[in-house]
Amino acid sequence: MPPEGDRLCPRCGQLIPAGQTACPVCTRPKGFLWSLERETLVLVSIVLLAVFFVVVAFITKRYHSEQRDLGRQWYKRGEVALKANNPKKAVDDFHTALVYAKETAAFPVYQMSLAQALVEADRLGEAQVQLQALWDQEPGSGKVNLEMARLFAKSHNIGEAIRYYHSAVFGAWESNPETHRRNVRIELCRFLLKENERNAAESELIALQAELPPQADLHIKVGNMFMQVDDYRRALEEFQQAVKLDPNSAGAWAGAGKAAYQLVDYAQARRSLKKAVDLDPKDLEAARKLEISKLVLELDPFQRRLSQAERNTRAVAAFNQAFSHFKQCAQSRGVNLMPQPSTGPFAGPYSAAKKMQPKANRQNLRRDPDLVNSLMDLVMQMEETAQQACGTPPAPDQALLMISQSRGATER
Amino acid sequence: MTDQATNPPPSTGAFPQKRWVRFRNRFKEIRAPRIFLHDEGLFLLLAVIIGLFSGLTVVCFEIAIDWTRIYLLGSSLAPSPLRVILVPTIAGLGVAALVIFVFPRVRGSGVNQTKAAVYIYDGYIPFSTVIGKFLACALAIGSGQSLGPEDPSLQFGAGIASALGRRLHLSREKVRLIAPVGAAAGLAAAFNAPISATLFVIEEVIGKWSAAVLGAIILAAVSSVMVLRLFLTEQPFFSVPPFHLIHPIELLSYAILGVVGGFASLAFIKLVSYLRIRSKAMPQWTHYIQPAAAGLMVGIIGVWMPQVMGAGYDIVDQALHDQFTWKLLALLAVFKILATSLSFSSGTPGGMFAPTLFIGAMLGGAVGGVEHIFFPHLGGTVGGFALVGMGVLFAGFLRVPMTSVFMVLELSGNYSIILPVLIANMIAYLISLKYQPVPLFDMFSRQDGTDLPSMEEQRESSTLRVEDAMRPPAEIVLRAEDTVSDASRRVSATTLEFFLVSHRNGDWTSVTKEELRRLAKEGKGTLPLARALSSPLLPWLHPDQPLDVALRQIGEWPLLPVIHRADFNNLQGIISIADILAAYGAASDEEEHSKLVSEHSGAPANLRPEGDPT
Repeated sequence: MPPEGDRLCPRCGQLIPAGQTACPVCTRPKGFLWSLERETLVLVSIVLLAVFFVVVAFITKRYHSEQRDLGRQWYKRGEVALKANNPKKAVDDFHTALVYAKETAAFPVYQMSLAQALVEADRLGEAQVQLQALWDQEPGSGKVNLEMARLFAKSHNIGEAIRYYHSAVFGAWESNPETHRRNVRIELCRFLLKENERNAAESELIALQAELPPQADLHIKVGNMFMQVDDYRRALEEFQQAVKLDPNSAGAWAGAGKAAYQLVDYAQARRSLKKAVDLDPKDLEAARKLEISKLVLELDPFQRRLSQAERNTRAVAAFNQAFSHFKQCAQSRGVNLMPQPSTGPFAGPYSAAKKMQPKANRQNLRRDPDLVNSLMDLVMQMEETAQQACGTPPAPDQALLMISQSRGATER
Repeated sequence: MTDQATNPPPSTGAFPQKRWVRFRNRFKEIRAPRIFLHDEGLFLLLAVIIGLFSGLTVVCFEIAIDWTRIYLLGSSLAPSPLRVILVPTIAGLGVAALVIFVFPRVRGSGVNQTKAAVYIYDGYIPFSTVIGKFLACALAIGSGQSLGPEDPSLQFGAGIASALGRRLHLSREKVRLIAPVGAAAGLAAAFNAPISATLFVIEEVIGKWSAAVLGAIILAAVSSVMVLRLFLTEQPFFSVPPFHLIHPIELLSYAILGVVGGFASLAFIKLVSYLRIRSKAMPQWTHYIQPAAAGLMVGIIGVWMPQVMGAGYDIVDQALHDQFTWKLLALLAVFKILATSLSFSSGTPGGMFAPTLFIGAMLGGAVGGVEHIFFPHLGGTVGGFALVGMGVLFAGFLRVPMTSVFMVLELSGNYSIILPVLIANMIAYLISLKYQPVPLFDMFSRQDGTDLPSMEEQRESSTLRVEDAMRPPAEIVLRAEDTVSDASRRVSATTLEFFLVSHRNGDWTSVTKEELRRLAKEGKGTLPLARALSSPLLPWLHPDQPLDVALRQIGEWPLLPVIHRADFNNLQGIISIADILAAYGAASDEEEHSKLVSEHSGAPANLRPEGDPT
C-alpha cells in the first residue's frame, strides 16, 4: 500500500506523491510518438504490418525461387552423375536437390530419382525408405509401384516383388498406360524366369499374350519367353503371329522353327528354319537345327507315306550309321571291342548289335517288317551310349537319336 | 492572435523546419475514430498484431539463416573441408565484434533475457536487441555454429511485444505481461507448433496463467504460426513416419530410453555449465576470440561429421526415417553435445532447442538400434525411438516436462505415441531432477549474476495452507440463538475477550466480553445474540486455502474461523495473525535448512555470482 497521501497512477502504476495532481511519469515530456492517441498508434502499427507483409512476401518469393533453382541445379548434376555410372555422387546430388525442392511439384520426381540412384548404389534400405514415402503419398501410382517391385526384385524378395509388379500393372500411369502395363508384365516375366519361378512366369505370359498388340517384336519377345518355360505350343503360336505381322523377320522364323523343332514337328521346323537362315545366314543355331531337321526327315524310317522299301533302306542305313558311330566312340574311349567286352556300357549294345548285324539288310526286313522296330531300338541304344560317352554326336547321329527318342512322329 | 501567427513572415533557412512543425501539428490533429480501446481489448488486439509481426520476423530470420549458409558454406550439404573450418571461425570473429561492440545484450539463448525483462525490467526489451539478435544469430547459425533459431525467435517476439506495448501506453503490469505473449508468438513460429510454444512460455517464463494472458498468448501464437505457414511452409519440420504401439512390452524399451536420455541430459547440462564457467573466467581479451575458437572446433568436428553443424533439422528427419546405423547415431549425439556446448559457452548467441531435438533424436535412434539388435522381441521402430528421444531430451535437459510431451504429439500428429512419450519423458525428467536440482536456465541466470524466479522451484515448493497455521477451536463458540445472559455466563469463566458467534445460516460474527456486559447492563439479557449484536460478518476461511488468502482476510480481526467447505457451521479451527506469521517463519527456516543441505551435498559451484573466477 502506498504511504498515506500518496497514490498509484492507474495508467502506469507509478507513485504520485501527495500534493501532486498528475502522474510525474505520464506527464513527463515525451517524444512525438507518445503524443499520439492510442488508437492512432494501433492504426499505424497495422499499416506498418501491411507494409511488412508486402516486403516479406517479396523476400519469400525470391527465396523460394532461388531454392527451386538450386534444386534444379543439383538434380541435373545428379542425372549427369547417374548417366556417368557414378551412383554414389548421384545420391548425394539428389539428396541436396531434395533439400531445396521441398514442397515443390518436383519433389516427388527428385525423390524417385534418389530412390533409383540408391538402388544403383546398392543402398537398398535407404531406397526403400524413399520409395515407401512416395508410396504412402501415391499408393496407386504405377511408377512408384514399379520401382518398389524392382527394389524387392533386387533383394530377391519374390513375394513382395510380385505384389508390387501387379500393383504397377494395375496402377495409374500418366501417359501410355497400356504400354507401361505391358512393359511391366514383360519385366515381371523376366524376373520370374530369372528366379526360376516357371509356373508363375507361365501364368503371367498367358495373361500377357492376351493383351499383345499387333507388333511382331513383342510377339517374338513373348514367344522366346514361352520357350524358356517349355510351353512350345504357345511359343509357336506367338512366333507364327509374328511371322504373319512381319514375314521378313528372321527372328520370328527362327523362333517358329525352334518351337516346331521342340514339338518334334520337323517338317514345320525345316520350313521355318530354312526361311530364318535365308534371312539371317549368321544364325548358327538355326542353321544347325535346320540341318538336323533335314536329316531327321531324311533318315526317319517311321515317317508317313514311306514305302516299305524306303523304310527298310532307311532302317538299315540308320543301323549302319549308328553302329559305325558307336564303334568310333568306343575306340576314342579306349574301349577294345575285340574281343567282345563283357562289362561296361558298351558291352550290351555291342553284343546286341553284333547279333543284329547279319540280319540288318533289306532282304531280311522285307521278310520281317517288324525287324525295323528292333533295329531302331538298337540304334537308339547305341546312340544314347555313344552320346553319354562321347558327348554331342555329329549331325546324322543326333538326328538318329532324335528319331529314336520321338518314335511315332510323322510328316504332317 | 497576432498577424505574425496568422501570417507568418516568409522565412529563409527555417522554412523546411516550420513546414515540418506544421505537418506534425496537423498529424496530431488527426484522430482515428474513437473506438476507445480499453486495456483488456487492446491487449488482445495487440496479441494478434504481435503474433503477425513475430511471424513475419521469424520468416525473415529463417530465410536470413539459409541465405547466410548458402553464401558462406555453399549450397552443397557437404562443403569442402577448408570451408567448413574457415567459415565458422571467421564468422565467429564477426559475431564477437557484433556482440561486444554493437549489441551487448544479445548474448545467450534469449529465454533468460526474456524472463529478466518480465521480472526485472518491467517488460522492457530494447528494440536494438531484436535487431542485434537477428543479425548475430543469423551469422552464427548460418556459418555452421551448433545452435538453433528457436530461442532467438522467442526473444524477437518478446522484443517486438515490448516495443509495441510501450509505444501504446499500456500499464506497467500489461507491459510486463506482453513480453511473454510475444515470446510465445516467436517460439510458435520458429517451431511451427503453437501448443508447445504456449506451454513452454507458461511452464518456463511466466509459471502461471490467467484467462486473459492465456487468451493473448494463444492468439499471438496462432497468428504467428499462420504467417509462417502462409509464407514458408505448411509442412511440419519433420515428416514423421507412422507410429503404432503394437504390444505393451514395447513400453519397457521406451523406459530404457528414458533412463539413457536422463543421464545424457545430465551429461549435457554438466558439460555446458562447466564450459560456460570456464569461458567466462578466462581473461577479457579471450572473449573477442572465443566465438571464433568455438567455430574452429565445431568446424574441425564438422569436417568429419558435417551433420553436427547448424540446426540440423534435415539430419533429424533422416534419423526419423531410419537412414543411419545406430553407431553413427550414437556418434552424432555425442559430437552434437560437444559442438553445442562449445558454441553456446563461447558466448555465441543462439538457441538450444534445435540441438536438444537433434541430440534426442540421435540418442533415441541409437538406443532403438541397439535394442533392435539385442532385444528384438521388445519391438518398436528406430524412427519411433528417435521421435520419443526428442521429447526425452526436452524433458531432461530443458526441464519442461509438459511441453516435451505436447511437442512430440504436435510434431508427430500421432496420438498413439503418447504412452511411450509419457513414460520416457517422466523417467528422464526425474533422473535429471534428482542429480541436477537447479534447472538449466536457472543455472545460467545465476551464473550471470541474476536471480530470476525459478518456475520449477515454484512448482516443486509446497504452498503453505491455512491448515498449516490454524489452531484447534478450543475457545468457547457462542451460538446466535443463545441469549445475552447465557452467553455472559458461559464466557465469565474464561479469561479470553473475543468470541466467535455461529449463526444457523452459516454466517459467523463475533462478540467481546465487554460487549456482553454492556448488553446485559442495558437490560437486553433475554435477547438472543442474533438480535442483540450489530457486529459485521466475519470473513471465513477453509483449511485448504493458501495461507496468503488468510493474510489478506485477517485485517484487524483478532481471529478468523476456519470452517468446513460442505458445512459452514462446522468449525475446523481458528487462525490469528500470530498463527499466520508463525507458520511463515517456520517455513522460511525449513527452506534455509534445505538450501544449506543441498549446498553442502555438492550443488554445483555455478551458483556463485558472475565474476567469481573459481
